[in-house]
Amino acid sequence: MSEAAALIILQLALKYGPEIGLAIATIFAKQTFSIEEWTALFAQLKTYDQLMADAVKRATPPA
Amino acid sequence: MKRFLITQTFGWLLVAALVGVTINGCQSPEKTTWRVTGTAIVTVNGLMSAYADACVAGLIASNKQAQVRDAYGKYAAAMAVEKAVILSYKVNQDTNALYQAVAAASAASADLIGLVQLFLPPDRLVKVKGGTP
Repeated sequence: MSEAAALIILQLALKYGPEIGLAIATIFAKQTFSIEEWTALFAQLKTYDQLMADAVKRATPPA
Repeated sequence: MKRFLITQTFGWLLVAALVGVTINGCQSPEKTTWRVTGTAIVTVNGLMSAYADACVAGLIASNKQAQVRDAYGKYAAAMAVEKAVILSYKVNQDTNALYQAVAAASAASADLIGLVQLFLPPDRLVKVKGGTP
């Protein structure tokens, strides 16, 4: 996967120039994440009761 | 012209360096944590959604539901600890504490996944995993 990503970056850099390649490579090489990004990731966690309530909603036919 | 060439050369060197980093898979503790945690959350959410649907359909016995609830509680607690450790890591860069928290959360998610896979009817499990029964 990482080799494929590197190849894509290289191809884009060869086609569109180093600036575009650099911009894309920077995204792939992202090593740190902001507190907001971490918070958003953990916000995907639900409580057990939330999961059950969602399932009840899915099972309830729309009025 | 000279300035253009210097800029181009510098740009290509940076691209080459970043491509090298990508090929080697050199990852920061934060990036590793991000990947492991993101994968665990997505996997558990998908599996728990199927499990909750099975519960609502009356396919999971109440004693088994109690076991899953307990395992989910431990998973959620481990994730809460991991979140707190990550936020601290942003300040103190304590890699050991970070990896310990990730390992604990991974173990809790593995326990939960194993339990749900055990209790989920095979046809429901196939829907989550894909493939044929």
